[in-house]
Amino acid sequence: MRELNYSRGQIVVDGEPVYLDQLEPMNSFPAYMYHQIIQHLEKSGEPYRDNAAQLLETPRLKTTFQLRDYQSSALKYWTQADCRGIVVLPTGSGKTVLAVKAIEEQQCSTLVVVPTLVLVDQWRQVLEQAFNIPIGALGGGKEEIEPLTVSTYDSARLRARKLGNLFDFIVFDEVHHLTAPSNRRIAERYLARKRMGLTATLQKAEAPLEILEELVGPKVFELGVTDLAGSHLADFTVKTIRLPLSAAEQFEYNRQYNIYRDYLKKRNLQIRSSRDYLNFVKRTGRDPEARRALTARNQAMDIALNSSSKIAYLKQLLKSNPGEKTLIFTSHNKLVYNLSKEMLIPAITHQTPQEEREDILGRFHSGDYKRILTSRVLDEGVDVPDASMAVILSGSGSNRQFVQRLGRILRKSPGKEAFLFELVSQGTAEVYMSYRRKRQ
Amino acid sequence: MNLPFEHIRMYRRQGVIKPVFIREPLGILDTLIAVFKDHREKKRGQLNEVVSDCEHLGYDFRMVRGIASVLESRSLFQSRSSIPPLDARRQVFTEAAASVVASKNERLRVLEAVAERNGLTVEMLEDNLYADLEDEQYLVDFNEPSNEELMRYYNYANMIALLAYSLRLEIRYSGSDEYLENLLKRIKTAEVSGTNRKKVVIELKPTRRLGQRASRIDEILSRVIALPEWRLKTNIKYPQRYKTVCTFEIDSGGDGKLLAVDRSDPETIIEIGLPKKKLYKYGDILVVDDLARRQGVTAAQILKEISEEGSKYIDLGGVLVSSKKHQEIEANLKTLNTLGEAQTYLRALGVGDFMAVLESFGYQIEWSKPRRNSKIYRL
Repeated sequence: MRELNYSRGQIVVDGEPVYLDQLEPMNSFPAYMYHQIIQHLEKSGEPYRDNAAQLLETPRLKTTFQLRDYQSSALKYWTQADCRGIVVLPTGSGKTVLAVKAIEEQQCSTLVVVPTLVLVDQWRQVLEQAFNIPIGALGGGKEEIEPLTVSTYDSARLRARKLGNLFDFIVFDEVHHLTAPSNRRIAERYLARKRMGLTATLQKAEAPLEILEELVGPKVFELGVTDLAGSHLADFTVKTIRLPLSAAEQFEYNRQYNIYRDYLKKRNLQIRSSRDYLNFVKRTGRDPEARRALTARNQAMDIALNSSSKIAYLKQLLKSNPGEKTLIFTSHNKLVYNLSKEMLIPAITHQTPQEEREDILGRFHSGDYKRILTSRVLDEGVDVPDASMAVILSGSGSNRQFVQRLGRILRKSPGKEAFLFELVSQGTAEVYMSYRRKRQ
Repeated sequence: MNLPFEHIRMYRRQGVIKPVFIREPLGILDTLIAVFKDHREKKRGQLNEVVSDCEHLGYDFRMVRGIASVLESRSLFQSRSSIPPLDARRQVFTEAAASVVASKNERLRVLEAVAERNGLTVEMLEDNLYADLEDEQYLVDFNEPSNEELMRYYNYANMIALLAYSLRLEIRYSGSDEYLENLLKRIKTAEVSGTNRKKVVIELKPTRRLGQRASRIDEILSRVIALPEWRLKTNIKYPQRYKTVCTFEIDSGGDGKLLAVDRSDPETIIEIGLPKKKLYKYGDILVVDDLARRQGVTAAQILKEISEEGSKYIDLGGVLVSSKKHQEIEANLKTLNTLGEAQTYLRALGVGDFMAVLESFGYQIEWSKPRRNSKIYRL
């Protein structure tokens, strides 16, 4: 009789090798194939003893949380897909509540994996409130294992070999992080049969979907912000404001951008995708002209992204909406700090100490601060108190970033209408970036 | 010291790899020395901008960046603030929150009010506002080298960075250095033979911890090249995904004359000047892989031994901490800002692989040069 054991992220079969579809007969499999092995053995009727899963015993889980109609649909589709799959819902639409109800339905040991320590604390609070039992935490120096445990991606990866057979259900918050090669090991080394991925957007260009499908399951449900605006999320308006560069800025922009364009033309290069761009960047290591072209492009983009007319428009916009709680997003920390010094607005970047960040967000929540400047650190992973206006001074061409930033102002409250202003420098490559980030 | 790995300059031909050495004092060396000298009492942000501009002087940008790294290791940067910047910011932002500050006058009014309350001038307050940022630090001291010294320090740092990719080091030397011999005894994979003319062979495995590898090689070679006669032969796989292993040879009679160790690098001084800390059998904090490698056993054997001893450790994912140390470390790490501070703190506790400890406590690193000044933070 075969015996299944778990050893350091692998399912080891003692006895006859197992022949799974498309694979050679093997005695050792990555842990994420556990459910396939079990299914195969059950189907073939061959006897086996399962010592692999040493699942933590879970107390009766009961919550009073209620699902909205679309959350119920999402849960239904996920359950129908053999409790494996990815749910795509916008920020503020209740992905956490959906996961809580899934945990209640499954009544099994669960590991929730999140990208930041702040989210570990937020998830713990929600789960404690929902089930009224102690919740474990991994990360930031904490190592408390409970039937319901929340972990950072880093900690889940570091402890995968040790904890990989304790949980039957694993929830990946911001599941797009799982496509990073080091994070994939989490999904590979845990044997959890039930898997749920949560994210606000899932773009094929940014996340290899076939990898996620293999490790977590297929996309089972998706709603965008427009589907929920007005009903479950606040009504919103996105205004794209095209602003001209000053004559001096335009001259310098053209000069620098032409250096870049001329280089591409001379070398017969075309940048059509991120891969093309990456290849161009690789050239800069061996070709001084390529390096010069890259520097020129970066300088041109700096001018376009941080133009003086944007700053002037921002000031005017804030002046005419002094009472609105506003988040101002940029791509560059340098601009964040320059504006913070110039307009005396609190700033949050990755350099901001945790204590100060919590203080700023607390004051923003209470209304003491009406405006926050930030780069990319508030795009995801931090619970930002409700704001009604956002200004994107500069951003990438990523649709995910755009949706996440938009989501920051969409938490519903009576009579609320949210505004997102996107400032774009006319006649520059930023116009195309703006188009790309709004493309579905 | 070693250069950041992205600034390595080398050439490779027919199975031979060589670092690109600077062979004569180039103008860029004088230029960068002058830039650093001129930026005494100026902010790091300004210095960085000028160094970036120097990349367009016609030299390979990696060489410019590499030389600047060497000079940064000879510089002392300091934050200056009259009141804690965090406190200054809180006061200013609270004062400004009542209305939108869009003009110079509105800004001045807010700053004047806060400055007066704290007994400062507006200029001092402005300077104070983000004084804790790296770009706002002042260059307070710069240990100026001659262009020839700088050339040799750069060549050495470039070579050490490349040697971090070594799979085998063969060192032959004559002369005696007790420290070096003790150092070699501690390396499990080192084979030492000969009496007057010694031969040392060190077999290495590819590693992702290149920084750690480079500092160990630096520790050895900094002693070797000070000896009257030496020869180094290595097998290098650079970059690691490159399929072919290349050889590199250097000796005291040839290109070895182009090298010198920068003794002002604080990391080097600490490594050589202090006697090696005697590790307790377990200590309050230990990195299992690190200890296993040093003892030449497997990680599983270490864990088994610990478990048999009955010691109670908290496992932070390969890093074991006694419960009494756990809270203390967490609290102390919160007060530290840079990688250098964390390194010094954790090394003092006997941790070799301090990066693993930082990672296990959830810290992330914003890399900058010199490496020691990289910011540590956790979200």
